[in-house]
Amino acid sequence: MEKTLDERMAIVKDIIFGRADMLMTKPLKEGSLKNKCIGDCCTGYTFEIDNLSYRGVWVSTLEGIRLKVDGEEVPQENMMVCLKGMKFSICDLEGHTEVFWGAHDPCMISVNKVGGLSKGEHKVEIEILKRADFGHSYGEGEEGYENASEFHQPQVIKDEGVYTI
Amino acid sequence: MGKLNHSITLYGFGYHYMRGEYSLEDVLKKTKALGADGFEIVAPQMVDGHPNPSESWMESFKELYQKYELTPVCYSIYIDSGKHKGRFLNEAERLAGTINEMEYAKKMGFSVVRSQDALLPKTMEKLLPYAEELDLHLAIELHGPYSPSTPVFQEYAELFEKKNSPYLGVVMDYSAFSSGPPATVLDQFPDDVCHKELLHKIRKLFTTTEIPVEDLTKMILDEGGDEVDVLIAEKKIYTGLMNEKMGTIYYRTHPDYEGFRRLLKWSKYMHGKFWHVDDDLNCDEIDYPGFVKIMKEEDYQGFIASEYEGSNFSKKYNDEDQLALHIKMLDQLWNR
Repeated sequence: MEKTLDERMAIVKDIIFGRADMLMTKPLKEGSLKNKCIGDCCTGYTFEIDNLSYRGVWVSTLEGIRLKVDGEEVPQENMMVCLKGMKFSICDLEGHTEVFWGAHDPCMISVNKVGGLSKGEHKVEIEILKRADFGHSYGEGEEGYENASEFHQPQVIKDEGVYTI
Repeated sequence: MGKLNHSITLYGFGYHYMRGEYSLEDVLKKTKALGADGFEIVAPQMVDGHPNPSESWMESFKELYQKYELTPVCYSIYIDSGKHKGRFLNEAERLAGTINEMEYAKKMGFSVVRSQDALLPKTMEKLLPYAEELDLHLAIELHGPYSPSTPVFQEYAELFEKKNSPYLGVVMDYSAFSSGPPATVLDQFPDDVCHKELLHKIRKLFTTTEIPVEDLTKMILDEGGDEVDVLIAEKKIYTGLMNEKMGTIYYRTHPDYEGFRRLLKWSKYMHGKFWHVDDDLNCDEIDYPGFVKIMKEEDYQGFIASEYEGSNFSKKYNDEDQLALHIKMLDQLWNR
């Protein structure tokens, strides 16, 4: 073999340990970044995120959304999740156990920012913390839940891209 | 002996469906073209408006599957215990959620409703009158790494025995009966980083013998391999990609044939899970000849769904080609 042992080991370790779980779709939807304009007024911007599983998910499993635009962290209170004609603050998502985000339901993040984003390219970085919808631990209510490790640590789903307004 | 009833789970087309590349009609059309008699739908994946689809959507869905002359067989539902942070669902929620889904399954014409083990046997028992009323077979999926001897499935089996009802049962997924990883498990590694021929030999030995893994590792090093090959063997051959227990000693050469036979009595639908079928119709990782023989001996009358998950191991193969090979393999074994 032409490659050294160290080179080969590095490639193999990257394949085995370095690759994040593959999602079926890229969370940030291409071409969806837009300013929120009402006539000449602009109150912020929106973009769409794609479904985060191989099926639809419950919005209550979304434990957090961290967003950076052009390197600057967007405050949580400036974001809303818009789905099926409803709008949710990030901190309220957990309580909406009745809302199912279907596989093809468009989901938009709306960010409040006076003036919106300037014309041109913007780097968007997102981290979505999501608990599993289902698992194979079981019990009744809180009983035994401490052992249900699949629900304790949310998956961190990351994506980034440069988009043009 | 009648013909084997083939189903395809639409979930198998999920990647393209989720990406908007295939429509629901596309996947039904493909299911028919591949030779399936019936199909399975994963409700939270492809039922628009889930968990409360509209009457008009259900009508248009029925028209679609009728257009392709397909039998709706299995409606797959979940116990979404992740819904509430800090607790599992309670029994009232599991009951109400499952009855709701059973009603929709009935409206759409399905005959089997597949749920998950987290439903729990005591709750399943309470659902029996609803299954009887709706004339639906309510079944729990037995999926790897679980096996028939896993305690909760022993409890389910006790319930089936006690009730002796055609309305309660199990959907066995062949992942629960695998012997090791598929032949394609090494595809993800470039040829010039490991000794593939040697690793394939180790994979075959792992799947078909009881040689301890320590001895297999020694064999790698004795026969020209090195620590790169050992790492691949440890992480991809002796353990599974999808769950840590796949490929344990238990599954290697002793998948639970007797447990499979015992549970067949309560089975009307099963998941013919597979990761690779080669052109000679061999599936290295699951002993299909052995299990199909048992299905014939027990006069299995239900459906078997072809369920390809091979893209978790290798992207080299076309999923529809693989499904066609799987159906061909099953027919060959059934008609032997």
